[in-house]
Amino acid sequence: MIVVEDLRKRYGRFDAVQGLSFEVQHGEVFGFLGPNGAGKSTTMRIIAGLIQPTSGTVRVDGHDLARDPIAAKAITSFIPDRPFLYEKLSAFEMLELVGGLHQIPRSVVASRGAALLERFELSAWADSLVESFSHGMKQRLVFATALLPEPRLLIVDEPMVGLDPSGARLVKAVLREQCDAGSSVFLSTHTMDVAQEVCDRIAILSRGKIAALGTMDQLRTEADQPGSSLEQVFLRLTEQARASALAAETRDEAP
Amino acid sequence: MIVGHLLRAKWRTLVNLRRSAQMGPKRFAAVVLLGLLVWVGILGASHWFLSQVVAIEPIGVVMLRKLMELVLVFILSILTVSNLIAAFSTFFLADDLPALVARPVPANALYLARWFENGLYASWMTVTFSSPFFVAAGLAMDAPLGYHLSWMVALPLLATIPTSIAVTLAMMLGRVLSARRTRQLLLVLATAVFTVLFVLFRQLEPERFVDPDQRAPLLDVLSQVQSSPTPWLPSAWVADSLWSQLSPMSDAMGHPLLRLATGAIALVFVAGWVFRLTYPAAFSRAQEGQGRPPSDRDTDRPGRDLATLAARLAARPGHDKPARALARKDRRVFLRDTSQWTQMLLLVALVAIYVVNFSYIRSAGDSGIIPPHGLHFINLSLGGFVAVAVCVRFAFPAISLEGRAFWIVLRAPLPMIEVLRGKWRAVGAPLCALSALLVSVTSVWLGSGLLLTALAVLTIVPLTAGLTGLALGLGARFPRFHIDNAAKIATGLGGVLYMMGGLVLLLVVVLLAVPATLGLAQWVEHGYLPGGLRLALGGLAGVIALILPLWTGRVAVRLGARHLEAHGLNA
Repeated sequence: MIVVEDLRKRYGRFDAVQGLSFEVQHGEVFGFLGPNGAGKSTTMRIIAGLIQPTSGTVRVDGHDLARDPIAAKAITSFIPDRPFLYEKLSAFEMLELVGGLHQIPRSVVASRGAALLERFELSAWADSLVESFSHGMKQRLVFATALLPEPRLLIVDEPMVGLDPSGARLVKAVLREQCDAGSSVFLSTHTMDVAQEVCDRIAILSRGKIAALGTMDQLRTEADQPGSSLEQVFLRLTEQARASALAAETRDEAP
Repeated sequence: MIVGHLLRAKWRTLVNLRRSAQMGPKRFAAVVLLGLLVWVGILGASHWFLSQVVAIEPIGVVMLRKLMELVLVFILSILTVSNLIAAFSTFFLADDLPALVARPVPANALYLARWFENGLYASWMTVTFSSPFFVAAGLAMDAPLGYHLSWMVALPLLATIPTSIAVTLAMMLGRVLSARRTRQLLLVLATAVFTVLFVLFRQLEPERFVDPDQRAPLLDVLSQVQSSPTPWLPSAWVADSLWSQLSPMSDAMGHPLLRLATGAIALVFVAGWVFRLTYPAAFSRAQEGQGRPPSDRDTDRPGRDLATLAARLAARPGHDKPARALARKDRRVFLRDTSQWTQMLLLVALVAIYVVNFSYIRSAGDSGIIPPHGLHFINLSLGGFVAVAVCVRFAFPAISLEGRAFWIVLRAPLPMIEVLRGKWRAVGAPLCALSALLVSVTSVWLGSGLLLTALAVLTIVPLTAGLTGLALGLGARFPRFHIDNAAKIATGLGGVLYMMGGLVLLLVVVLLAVPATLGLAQWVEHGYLPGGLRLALGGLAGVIALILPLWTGRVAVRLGARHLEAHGLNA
């Protein structure tokens, strides 16, 4: 579903993403983990078509993002880490807007939108302005708007922020349902339990590079920590990556 | 100690602007350079004007003093209004306040830090750009160094008085009214007051000053301004203090600068006392007004439940086009966002100013000073100027006002150029209609005849469309997504570039329209057609006058779209 080749993003002198290459399969939940500032959000925003890379290619279901971004966006939905929405629109009007942007027939927007608002427990607030919503309600509305076009790829950046336990459970169920229906999910999170529970494969990012990639078992083997939790594996692998990066920098600076 | 700590954070924020993504060193330098150019321009104009005033024998020097008093009253009024509007943001609505109030910051430290910030934010521009007037007055009077030192001390001191008054008023109003609503109301009132002041100023017709035969009305008005009209007004203390340096025969009582300083310090203490008494309750009230939770009123409105909404939408066949969906969203947001309504008042103010200016042009036409064809081009220029000003408020902020929710549009499967073109149509159509209406009504009022009226409309419509595109494109090239105040969005480098570009475009279009309009008028009125080359050049200039603005708008929109596609919300 996603093919990323030698992706790089530079902000001024800072290399946020340094030559990433990986693939996400159809029907897979692909976890994208890493410490703060590792380049996760930048990568996700590039794949979502929100920012352009400095170099490298991204193909979504065969569509090159640089050459055919509209086709790629048409089959993709993005859920950002902070749910900024149009505060002066109601929940239903938000769905109507997204439906219009994706040119979905109004009758489909009406039926599918109503079902999604029911699913995300927002039907009672369908006509309320977004400005009156709590953070968690906004997050649930973002999920509803993201699922409205029935995307084949769902890019989710920190889905659990601001959600209560029932909301979090609902989101995990939704992510699995997406995969069962053949869609792919590209998920970034700091909540290790969620990643361990829902992801088929996980990439661990450190300083803009992939430190490790594989299934949970493969990561455990790579970290030489059989039977341990993802949190322990994550800490070990990111520490190893940090140490080897520091060693490489020291080598480069040596006369 | 803590005050210094709080202020240092603000200072660092300001200094770091030059290396922020939004500003950057080049843009920072460009803004500073532009500011310097404006300052020097005001100095040059003021020096020329005040030299003319001083040269009027035997009353020039007296007139200068009266002018200085008027200017100081004007500065005091502007500072009072701007400080009051800013005080609601600084003390109640600023994003960093909850974090500060939640910390063990002593009330006095918080007050002093915020008082200073408010004063600086609300006054720096007025003080900076009014200072050339005082420099020019000194130059015109060959003033000693003491005069220049006096205004450098007196102006900042004067600026602290409205700050203290504004903080006191904001504390008292914030205790009983919603901070957000009060700020909006004050913005509306400020626009209305400014319009009235401008109309009154225009009635003085200051341009007559340069003509000795026409000075009488202005001199009459100025002579009615008594020396130090109200001795209790701080502006009078500043005038007294400056004049004591300019004229050794000054009749100032006591030491006016000392009066100013003691008054300013006393008011800082008064405002601080009111702050300590009212702030906790007023701040709490301001917090309650934000992030209103859903109420029964929201959910229990009859006929607006989910089933009804869905049924109503499903009843409409087909699907929305993206541009239409975006236009509907813009319309809904505009109608529900009361802060944008003040923009409508500004539109009314601009039209009022246009009509007031126009009545003087008409009287000039009636007296035969300006020929009928000249009136046509002045009318066109003024109409174009209104279009430039309206576009900076309505078209330039169109992208920035999307705010941080713009990711929704960026994510949509449609080219950014389509988004911008949709906005161009949605904003451009009403603005073109407005400018066409203004110019045609005034043209008929001038008695320009059907041909010139039609030509005026024919010229102004593509010009307004082009200006809208230019404003929209530059607004997309220099977006400010983090600012939600439409008036503030246009105060950056992009807004300045648009104003300069828009005025140049207006000038070029009017100049290009001259040969074609005159040639056509001669042909229709006298049956005379110029020779081949002149006819061809005139026709070509006319065609360019129609095409150039549209082409400019198109290029600007394309550049803006390309920039947004490349940089997204980081643009």
